Order: sequence, then C-alpha cells, then structure tokens
Amino acid sequence: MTEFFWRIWIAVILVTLVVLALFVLLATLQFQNINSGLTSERLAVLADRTAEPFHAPAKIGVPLSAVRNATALLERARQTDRQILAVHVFDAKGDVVHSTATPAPESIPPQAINALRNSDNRRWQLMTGTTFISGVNILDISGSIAGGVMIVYPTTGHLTQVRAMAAELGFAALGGLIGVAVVAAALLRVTLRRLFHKFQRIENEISEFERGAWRSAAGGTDAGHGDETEAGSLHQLLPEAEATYRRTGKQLSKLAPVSRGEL
Amino acid sequence: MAETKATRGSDFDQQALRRRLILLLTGMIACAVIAVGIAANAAFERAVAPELQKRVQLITSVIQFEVQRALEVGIPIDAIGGLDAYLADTLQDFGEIDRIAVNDADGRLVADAERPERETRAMDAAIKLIARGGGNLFELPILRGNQIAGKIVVEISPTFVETRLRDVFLDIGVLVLIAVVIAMELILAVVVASVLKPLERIEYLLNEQRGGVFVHIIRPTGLLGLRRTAARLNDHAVDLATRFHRLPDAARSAVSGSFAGAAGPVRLRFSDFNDIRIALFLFSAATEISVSFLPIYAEAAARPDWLTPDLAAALPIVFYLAAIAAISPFGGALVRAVGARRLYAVSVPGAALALIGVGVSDGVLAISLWHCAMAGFYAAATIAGQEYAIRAAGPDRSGAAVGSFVAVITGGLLFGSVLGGLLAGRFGFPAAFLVGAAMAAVSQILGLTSMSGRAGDRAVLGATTRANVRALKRWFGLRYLTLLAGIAVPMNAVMVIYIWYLTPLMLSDLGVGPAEIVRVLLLYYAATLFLGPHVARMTDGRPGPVPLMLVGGCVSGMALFVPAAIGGYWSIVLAVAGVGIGEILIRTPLYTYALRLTGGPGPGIDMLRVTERLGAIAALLVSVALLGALGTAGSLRLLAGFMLAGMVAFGIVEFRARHRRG
Repeated sequence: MTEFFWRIWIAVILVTLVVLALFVLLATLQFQNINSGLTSERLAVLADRTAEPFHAPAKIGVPLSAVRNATALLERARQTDRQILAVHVFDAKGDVVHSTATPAPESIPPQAINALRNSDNRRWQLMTGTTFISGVNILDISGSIAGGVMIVYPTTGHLTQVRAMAAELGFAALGGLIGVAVVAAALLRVTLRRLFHKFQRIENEISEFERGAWRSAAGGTDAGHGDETEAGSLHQLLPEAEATYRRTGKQLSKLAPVSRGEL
Repeated sequence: MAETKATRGSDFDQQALRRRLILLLTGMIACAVIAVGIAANAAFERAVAPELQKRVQLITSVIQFEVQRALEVGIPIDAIGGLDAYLADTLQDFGEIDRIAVNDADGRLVADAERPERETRAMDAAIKLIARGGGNLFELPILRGNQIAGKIVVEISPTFVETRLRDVFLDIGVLVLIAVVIAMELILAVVVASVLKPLERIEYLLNEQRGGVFVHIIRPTGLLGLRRTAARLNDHAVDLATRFHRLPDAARSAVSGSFAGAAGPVRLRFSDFNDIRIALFLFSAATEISVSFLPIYAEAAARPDWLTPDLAAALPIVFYLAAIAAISPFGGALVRAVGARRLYAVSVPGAALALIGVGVSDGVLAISLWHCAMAGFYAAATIAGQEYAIRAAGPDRSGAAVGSFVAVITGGLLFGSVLGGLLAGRFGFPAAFLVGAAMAAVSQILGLTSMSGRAGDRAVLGATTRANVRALKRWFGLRYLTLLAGIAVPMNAVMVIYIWYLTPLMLSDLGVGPAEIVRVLLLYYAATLFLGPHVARMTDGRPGPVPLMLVGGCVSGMALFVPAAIGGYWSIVLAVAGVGIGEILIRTPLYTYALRLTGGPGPGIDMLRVTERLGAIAALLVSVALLGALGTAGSLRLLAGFMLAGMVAFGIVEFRARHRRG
C-alpha cells in the first residue's frame, strides 16, 4: 500500500512542480518587462527634458553643434543617475556633436539611426546586448529631423536584477513545493483513507489466503478471515478457485501414466 | 466473453474520489501558488524600489527646477501660470504616480494633478488582499535663496506592482485549473493501473477457474499482492494445460474442466472506458494547441488578393468545422469497419503530420487545407475514442463513459489552448505546432498500448452492428427526431453562436482585450470540467437523462436572456457560465439517451453527430445573416427562444410517449 501511496504523492508533486516552475518563469518574464519598462520610461523622460533647450535653436535653423553650453546641459542630465554611461546630442546625419563621453564617439550606432527613423513619435528606444538606448528627436521648422538627444545606459544591473529575481522566486517555489510535499503526504492519507483502507483489505485478503494455504499444506489450520462482513469477493473466490485447481490437479495426477523414474 | 464485467474493482466510486481530489488538489496547488505569489510580490517591490526612487527624484528635480526658475525671476509661488497643466503633463509620463502637488511654505495647495480614479477590478482587489501594498509619499522642498518657498509632494500608487502582477496571476489561475485536471488524470490512471484493472482481471480469472475453466492467463500487474495472485492463477492454467496434454487421448475425456490448447493459455484483454483517458487528453491538447492564436496566425500569413484579412482569419476555422461535419457521418462506420484501435492508430499520425503542415505553411490557403486535414483526422480519432469508451463501459454505464469522454476532451482543449498560447508567445507559432505534433505522437503510443482491450477490435464491433440493425425503426421515430431537433441542434447552435461568435464580439465592443476574452470563455469549459462527473453519475442513476436535459435547456435559455435584457460585462460573463452549465447538463445525457433510443453505437449515433455539426454551421450562418437586422440583443432573444421552444417540444413528446407506455 505504501508503494501505491507514493505513486499518487509523486503525481501530485510533479504537477505542482510544473505549475510552480511555470509561475517562476512567467513572473520573471513579467519582472523583466516591468523593470526594463520603468528604466526606459525614465530615460525617455530624461532625454525629453534634456532635449528641451535644443528645440528653439533647431526651429530657427541653428545647427545643434552651435548650441552654447550644451555639454553642461548634458552633464546635468547625466548626474541624475550615476549609472548613465553617456548622453549624446547628434545631428541629422547621426554624427555626435555634443557628448558627456570622453572621447566622444563620432556617430551614434546604426541600430539607433534605424530606430529613430522608424519611430512613430519623437521618442524611441532600443536594447542592445549591453545597453539600453533611449532617444528623442529634435525637429526643425519643417518637421524634419534636425538631430536628437540619446542616453546610453548599461543593462548589466538590469540583467543581474532579473537573474536575482529568478533565483529568489526559484527558492520561494522550492519552499512552496516542500510545503506541498509535506502537506500532501498528510492530507492524501486523510482524504484517501477509505480508498487505502479498501485496497489494503484486498492485500490482506490475499495475504490471509496465502497464509492459510501454506499452513494447511503443513497440516495446520486455516488462518481465518478477519472482517467477514467487509470481505469482498476475493475472500470467497480465492479458496474456491484454489480448491478447484487442487481437485483438478489431483485428478490429472491419477490419470497420468507412471513414468520410468517412479518404477 | 463480455467486453466488460461489473466487479468490485469497477464498482469503485470514482466520482467520490474525484470530488475529494478536486478539493484537495485545488486547495494545495492554489495555496502554494498564492504563497509563492506573496513572496514574488514582496521581491518585486524590493527590486523595483531603487528604480521608483530614481523616477521620483527625476520628477521632483524637474518640477523643482521649473518652479525655482519662476521664483528667481520674482514670480510668487501661487502666481505661476500653467503650473496645473505642467504637473498634469508630467503625470502622464509616469504610470506609477497617482498625484503630484505643489504646496506653498504654509502648506496651502498651490497646484496639483491627480490621476482619475483607477478602475478597481475584482482581481486587483483580490491581489491587494494578499499583497502588502503600502502607499508611498515623497516630499521635496522648493528653495528660494536660503528660504523654503514650498514643497513638491509626489504620491506613488500603492498597488503599482501588484496590478502589474495581475496578468501573471490570471495566467497562473488558468494553469492551476489545468494542473488540477492533469493531476486528477494522473491519480486516476495510477488508481486504475495499480488496483482496479488488475483486480478486475483477477476476479474474472478466479470466476473462470472456480468453474473449472483454465484456458486464460492475465497480465501480472498492479500492487504486490495482486501481482502475486495473477502469477499464481496464470501458473494454475499453464500447469494444468501442460499436464492435461501429457495424458493419453483416452484419459483426457475422463477429466472434468476446460484446459488451454497445445499453444498454451490465451491472454485475456479487458476494456475499460478509462483506458483512453490519458491518450485522448494528450491528443485533444495537441490538436487544440492553436485555438488561442489560429486567427492571428492565418491573418498574418500570405493570402491571395481576393481574400480579405477577416475572411483569411476565419478560413481555417470554417475548414475545420466543414471537415468535422464531413467525417462525422462516416466515423462510426469506420470504427466498425477497421476497429477503434486501428482507426485511432492511423488517424493520430495523420493529425500530427497535418499539425506540422500548418506550422510550416506560410500561405493562408495552405494553412486552411492542412488544418482541414487535421480536423478530419481529429474527428476520426475522437470518434474512435468515444466508441471505444462507450463499448467498453457497456449499456449500464454509457453516461459515465460519455461524461468521461467529454471531460477528457474539454480538459485537453483547455490545456492545449493555454500551452499553445504560452509557446507561441515565447517561441513562435511553428514551435507550438511542433510541440502539438510531438504530443500527438506520444498520444499514439499511449493509445496503442491502452486501447488493447477487446472494445478496440473490429470483430466485436461487427457483432454489435448486427444488433443495431434491429433498432433501425427507432432511429427515425418521433422521439429520436425531436431529441435531435429540439435538444441537439439548439444546444450546438447556442455553443457556436453565443460562445464562439457573439461573446468575443460583445466583449471586444466593450473594450475587453483578447487575453481576457479567452479567460471569460474558459468559464464555459470550467463548468464542463467540474460538473461533468456529477452529471455523468446523475445520468446513469437518478434523475436520469431526460430531466437533466430539460433543466439544462432551461438554464441555457434563461442565461441567454440575461445579456439580452441587461447588457454589460458581468451579464455576458454570467451567461457564459450559465450556458456552460446548461450544456454539460445536456451533452452527456443527450448521448446517453441517444444510445438508449438507438440501441447502442451505430448509424443512429452517426446521425446525431452529423446533425450537431450541420445544425451548428446552419445556425451560425443564420445568426450572421440576421445579426444586422436584429442586433445582438435580438439575436440572443431569438437564440434563447429557439432553445426553450426545442426543450418544450422535446418535453411534450417525451411526456406523451411515457404516458402511452403507462
């Protein structure tokens, strides 16, 4: 019966394991979305605010490279978060004209140029292997792109947080699984008590029959049959079938020709 | 030999076990998920806290900069123009902020912007209950020279993180439901394989051997004691057969009893309607893997110019229904001709190949044709499974067999649609179809081994067919025709029109997204899963199929009046649940009663299947045609009236037939 109980217990644990594993997977993916969404939204707002002083010169046709004190404006933005790698101002061709980075790159990455050209509104963002890039376009009086502001932010912290979240949720799920394992072991015994009792009776009937068989073969008395009212058909069928087998077997033995070895 | 035999093993009360297991498993798995959910919520809050802090700093610094600039040019804090609009503009950029306010040095409110009351949904309220959720208030002073001129107050939504966990909780809620179904299937499989089937075999063999028949052996499986007994009884048959054949011919006639031939005892093969549960569950899940995304997949595929995107999205489903309607009349005949096991074995690989075909196709016509082929194989395989279950159960337990079949197919549909959605979202559509094909392959292996009983054979089915021929007159009797027209057709019409067609349209009009529409529709299937076993028991016992169908018709009809009369989200949800309950009260009793009226599986049941499909397609076409003239509410009233009128007609015919019989 123990074997039967553990089979059911393993089935319950396996299903719970799958559910919890899926929960951890979904929750981690959701956290990844929330965290990257929060960071990129903040960077987008920051880029927007940083770009504000550049709108007026762009509208009157002044090249962005000619805006005075631009590096200080960018530095103010960079100092809002120490993790910001760089803040660039670029022109319509994608060439960097002001930057907090030293040395400043010559131009923004090609993926950024694609993103800004394909964006439906002024803001755009993308994630490369190691960085979040958030940008805002600056338009001239005709509505064409005169350039933009772009903030580069590392993804390492984000990825570390996602991995830490997966690990933390994994441990919580492991705790939940152990809890279910313990509770299931207790509750299954209680809930399936009647079922186990019923199946145990079947095992008992078989054992009692076998005991009776070997005792009677040695001249002993039958072991008896526990709970007569509870006993099912096995209780009657086993001895009757055995009796028919023995009777038929003896009949066959009597009719069998005597072999040479027995002479 | 009878296909089945009532024994103590098969008399075991599966429904009681199922009830206890549903409560136990739901409780345990839900508690584990809630506990991990609380931990996840706390971890989320901790993890996003630094980012939220940075965002608040950014907001306050931006506002502070603007306000201080105005103060520096001599504008008093309470005279800064457009401050409210500026704060409202800032609020739009930050979803987690509920309110931004600027106060003067005395604490009087100068300007503020507040997010309109967020719609609190029942799920969010439940999440709040289990989540820690505390409000966060941030204040930053505004300086003019060395004096404090005022302060900026930023209020973060207390349930920002919790509400973003809502989708995860909703997805996991569906997964828990499916997990309970799978766990129950597994536990029942363990109970059946460990005790019930071995015990049934042993009792059969004991009865034979008690009467002096030693011609059969059985598979020694199950619990230890049962394995020992099976081995012992097998040895009896082998031993006596060997000794009997050593006797001289003259001596053999003197021996009483039956013995196996020279080839030795024959292994017995028993059938049980539970045999096919796991195989059919997997197969149903495999074939329904695309339920949640098929229209999107088809709409995005290449299509000829004459095909509109709407029609392209619906085309695979139309082909699917048409293929099932086309195969249904012949499904029963195919089972009788080749046997349920062979038909299942041939159909499942066909369905797997068709699934791969759908997955690798890039044109909507190819997708529709492959999906059509898949539906044909699906219809053949499921009819094979249903006929196997009905034959294995015998006439006394056909309700249990049909109920079990419906529950397994529905459970598989739920599991497949959720799994398909997850796989497609994460790994793309072809991956979902490939996993479906792999699941179908596993289902075929399971089906071949589990359908080895005699109910899967051709020969046995042939004998039953001859019996059915005698029932020919009953197929076209008034009672059976009223059952088809008054119950079967309206039930399928309600399912196709309300569940598949009107509910998604009405919810979509209310601005409900596809993910939530799917969750609402799951209520319909949940009724089948959780009430199905009880209905099956009541069908085989009291009150029997006819009262159940009449109550089911009433429930469905009345449920449809709710959205027609009231309208709104909750009335639709209530009607979906009501139609689900109504349908399960009808479906199992319908098949059981049809089997009783027609004398068992045969062309009468084929007629029921084809009437259901054709009725559904016709009703859908009529509904689409009338929707413009009648509107949604009018269509619902018409549908409810159709259901109730059918039910009344069926009730009158039944009453008169019983009255005549006295």
